[in-house]
Amino acid sequence: MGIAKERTLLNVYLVMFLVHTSQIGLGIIGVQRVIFVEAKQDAWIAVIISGLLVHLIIWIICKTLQATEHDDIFSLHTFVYGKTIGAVMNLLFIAYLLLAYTSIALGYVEMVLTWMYPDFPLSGGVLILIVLTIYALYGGGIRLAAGVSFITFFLTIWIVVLMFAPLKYAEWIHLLPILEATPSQMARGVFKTTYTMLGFEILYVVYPFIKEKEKVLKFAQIGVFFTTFLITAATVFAIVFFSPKQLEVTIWASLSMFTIVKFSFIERFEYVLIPLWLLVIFPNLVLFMWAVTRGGKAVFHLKQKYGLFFFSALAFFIAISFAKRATINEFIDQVGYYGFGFSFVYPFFLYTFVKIKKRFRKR
Amino acid sequence: MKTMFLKKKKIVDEVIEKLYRSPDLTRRRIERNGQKISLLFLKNLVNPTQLQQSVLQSIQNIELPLTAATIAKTIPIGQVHICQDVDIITAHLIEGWVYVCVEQEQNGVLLNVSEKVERSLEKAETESLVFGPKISFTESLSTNIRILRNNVNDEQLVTEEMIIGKRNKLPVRIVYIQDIADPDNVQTVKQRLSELDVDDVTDSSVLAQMLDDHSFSIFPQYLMTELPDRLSYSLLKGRIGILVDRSPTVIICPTTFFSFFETTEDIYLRWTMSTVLRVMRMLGILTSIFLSPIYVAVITYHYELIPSDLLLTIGESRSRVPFPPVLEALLLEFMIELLREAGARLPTKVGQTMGIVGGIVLGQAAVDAGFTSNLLIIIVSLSALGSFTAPSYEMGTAIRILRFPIIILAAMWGLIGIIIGICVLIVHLLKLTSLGRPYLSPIYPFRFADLKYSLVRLPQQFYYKRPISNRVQNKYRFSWKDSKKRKDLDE
Amino acid sequence: MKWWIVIWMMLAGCVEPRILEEQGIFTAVGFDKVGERYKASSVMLSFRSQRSSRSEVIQATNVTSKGTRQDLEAQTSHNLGSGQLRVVLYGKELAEKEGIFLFTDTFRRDANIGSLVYLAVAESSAEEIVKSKKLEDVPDIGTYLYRLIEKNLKSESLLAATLHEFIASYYDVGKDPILPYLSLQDGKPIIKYVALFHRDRFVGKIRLDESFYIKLLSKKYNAGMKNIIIPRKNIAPILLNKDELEKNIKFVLNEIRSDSKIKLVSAEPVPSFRIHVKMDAEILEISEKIKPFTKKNINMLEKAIEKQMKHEIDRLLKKLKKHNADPIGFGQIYDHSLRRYELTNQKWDERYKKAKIDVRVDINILRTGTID
Repeated sequence: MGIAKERTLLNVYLVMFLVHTSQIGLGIIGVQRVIFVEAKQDAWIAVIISGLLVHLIIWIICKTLQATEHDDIFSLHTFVYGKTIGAVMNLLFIAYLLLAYTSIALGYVEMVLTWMYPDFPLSGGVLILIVLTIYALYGGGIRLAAGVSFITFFLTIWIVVLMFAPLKYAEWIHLLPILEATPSQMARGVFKTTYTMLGFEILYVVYPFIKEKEKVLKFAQIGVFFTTFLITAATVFAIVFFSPKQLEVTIWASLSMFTIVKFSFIERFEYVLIPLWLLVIFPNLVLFMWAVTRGGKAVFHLKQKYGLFFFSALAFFIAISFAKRATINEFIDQVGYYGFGFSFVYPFFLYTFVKIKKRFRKR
Repeated sequence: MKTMFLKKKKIVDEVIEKLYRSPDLTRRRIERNGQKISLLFLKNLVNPTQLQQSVLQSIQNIELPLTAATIAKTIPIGQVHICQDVDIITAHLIEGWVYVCVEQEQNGVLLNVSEKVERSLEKAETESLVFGPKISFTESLSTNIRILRNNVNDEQLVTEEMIIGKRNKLPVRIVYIQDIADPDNVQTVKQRLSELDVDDVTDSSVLAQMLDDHSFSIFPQYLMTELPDRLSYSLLKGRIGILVDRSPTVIICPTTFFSFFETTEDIYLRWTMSTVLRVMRMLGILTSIFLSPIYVAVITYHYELIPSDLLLTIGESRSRVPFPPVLEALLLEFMIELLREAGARLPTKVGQTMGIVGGIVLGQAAVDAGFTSNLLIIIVSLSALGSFTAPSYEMGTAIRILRFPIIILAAMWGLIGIIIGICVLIVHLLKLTSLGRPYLSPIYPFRFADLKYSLVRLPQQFYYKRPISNRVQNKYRFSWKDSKKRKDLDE
Repeated sequence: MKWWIVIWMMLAGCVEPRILEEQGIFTAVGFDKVGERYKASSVMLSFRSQRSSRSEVIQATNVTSKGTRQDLEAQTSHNLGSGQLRVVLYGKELAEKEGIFLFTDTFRRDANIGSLVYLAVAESSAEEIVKSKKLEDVPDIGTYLYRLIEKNLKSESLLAATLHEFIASYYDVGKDPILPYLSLQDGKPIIKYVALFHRDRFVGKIRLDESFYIKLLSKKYNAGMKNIIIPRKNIAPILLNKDELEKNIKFVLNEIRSDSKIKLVSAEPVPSFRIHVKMDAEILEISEKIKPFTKKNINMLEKAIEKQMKHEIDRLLKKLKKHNADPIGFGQIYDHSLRRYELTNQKWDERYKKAKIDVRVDINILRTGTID
């Protein structure tokens, strides 16, 4: 798929940031409770396991993309399944990306509404985010998406340092006894972690835009490693900070942990953190929407700039049909299941299919 | 022969006819041994001493017979040009040349005795330095070229001339160092300049705006400087300069966002100090953009953030103010902008008094009258100060204006509004280019090695490589290995 | 391209502002039980243009705690804001009879309230303390109480007072919260005791100096200074004055470094723990002249102090057991030391009473001050 002139190609180190920033988003703010309910004090082990799983899947994805001359998922689908089924698969993938985009926007607005502005209209909040994405992508494309993820990474990474402040109240004994969870508990814990880990599937779409393709795997792995590290840390800290039963009822554990942070000039840091978190989810939004427009181009031959408006409108209408917290949560959970299917299970199948098809072709 | 004679006769008349609205046009006839010679010139544009001594005297002394060729050969004047085209002659006369016409002949000679309006070399006004060379460019292109050649005596220095402007022709020089500057960039500059289709370019700053990649952006996209040392520094790092006649400021391109926050002083000071200064300047700029929006956001929406010790002080001084925080902030910002503008328009001495009267008296009175809270006075003056630390006047102004939309965003959505503003700003900066090169370099695309050229300073031995962002041809300034050589203790 | 930014702003709409000076800001709230109803007394800070914007106390009674909030709302022209709430007091009666978890839980749900809010139990009633007028130079009682508790937390004479710690200990099976216990002295609020809780119910109080051992045992804190009174006969050989054998000798010790290990030795039939406290200390004050500190003398002194400390710790533990309060978290250690075992509060309540706790103290005196 020889797209793109030399100029639009991205340096390979950006893959690290693309993968990492598309993974870190809303999940890390509230994932601890979900995993903890399943795996108890071994939740952090579940995170590490699913992190390892992601490393494996990244490897598979790169293998799949390198196997043929088709270097993005959309053309790969038509190659493997033929025109019709391929288009259906592409549509499903686009639908997933779009839903993921919507779920991020909704989740963030929901958090803002709960913590800061209870009277703000949900639709207005979502609209702000959607327009922001359009502004970023219109006339920008992948170069801009990569830039956004690169810059916002450095604008927000210092928050990690503040994660250590709550350790003042840590009760390390909460981690004991280690490895108490049964395999099935652990498996469920791993499964629950996956929603937070999602985002690396963006590699399927970004891949053709990277300059040195042979190094993609290495940098993607670094990105994933960093994500896993952060989520593990956040989980460990939450376990030691909250008492077990308390953690089970805390929806936004990380945010609640940051209520401990206090400076001489800022009394309540969480009120700064929530706005700052917009910078964390901004690359998520931009990347997912960009991937959607790429899909639109592949399936409908829709120009990306028109697709951008079309899909944004679609996302907006999906979003405003959710108003209550319960439905938003269900929606996000659903997207999580889709995501699990598409990102954790499907890559293995796709790889096998590609291999089979290739062998078939050769004969 | 006759036709030629007729034609010759016509030249002088034609010129006179063409310039009949210029009362300055003077015709001086000389006769030597029956040979008639006419001198045509515009009397206010020529240097009278040169005209008398070099032209008139030598014409008197030249061996007979007088021809255009002999005049051109013998006359002690630098620029001589044998010519019979009326258009060219008039064009030159307007610039202060003299046309010496040998009337029997078909020919005449153009002699340059022009005297350009020029001021003497002075200290730079807009970019003031404490430390380092003080000389500044003037309005004369030839002087500027002289200064530049003086600064960079590299034979690879190219100064290509172009004429821009259909009606008011403006000589423009593209200067760069042949074996350093990126030929692509040079090509782009040339192409953009040659594609300009305007009747008049008032100043180099206007030219810069015409060359802009994104004309709707609030940010300046080309660095304007009046410091020759800054130009020569940039040239040696692979950039391109555009010198414009009649303008003391030079365009440097391609430019990045961060180069607007550099001064040449950073290079002259020791690296530790200049690093601190650069970081401080950056903080100043951030303060300038975000401090008053943060005030508005916190007072309007997030009183939880205020530490308990400050709560009472802020609350009390706010409670006297009848306006909502946005209006209060906008009013005060407006006041400061007025002060600044008034100070800029008034003569220096009056301006200073204005600043003091305005700043102290108005500020104090505003607080006493319960017009603003005293915290906001501090914040607004801090942010005004911050914006003045930007070494580039254009960038400073851009930043001051930038504050207003962010204040409004903060008033609408609190801290989230500010972050939204930051997002828009990031995206906008990422989209910007200067001469087709990314504006946000070396941050994005990230060039670690170039950070030492823009955000920090390091000891000299680290500057063995020219900045990569400029896509220089000749990458090294000196060998890294040599700079690293260390002597043993007792050697 | 710019027009749509304007439209975007229009569409998205504005947020309801909460401008600082329009808020009536709570800095402290006290809850009491009056008959079947709750009485809330709040310190409200409101800003006025003259330099007299001080606090006032507004009160309301209602059958639910949230209901009191609405009643308070009816009493003022300001919008009530709890974003700057710093201290919440509970009357002793309320804390003893009802438990305070329900109140704290409402706070936890409210995003407006930070988790660093200090909680405290008020002797007699919260109302009295909130209405106290003696505040040193601080503008309002809320800020005064906040600084009082904060200072004592910083100097580590108090252990825990924040909402977060209370809730975390409450939820932790086998650990009970403690809070500062405020009392009035000449009409001025002071901290003299630490309130012990059994789950969320106030069960008793201990003196601040007794809480030294809780700090020592839970080892998270720097324990600070401690007065030790040793019977004279225990260190008789090193005393210069050999008379008056009945009088005791006072030592002031300052902890330099300490380490304590609590180990579950056996879980059945009764839980039995072994505590090993190691402490490096310096002597700041001695009430009587003693012989020069030779190695032998110091050893003897150390032995005597160890014995005394062990005795005091035993007494404290007995007291805690009597109240069924477990601020050190023996239950937690019990729970987390056993695999595949889920401790419940009921189970622990029974076992705690029977628990055997064996204490060993090692003191190491490093310095004896600037003179011998």
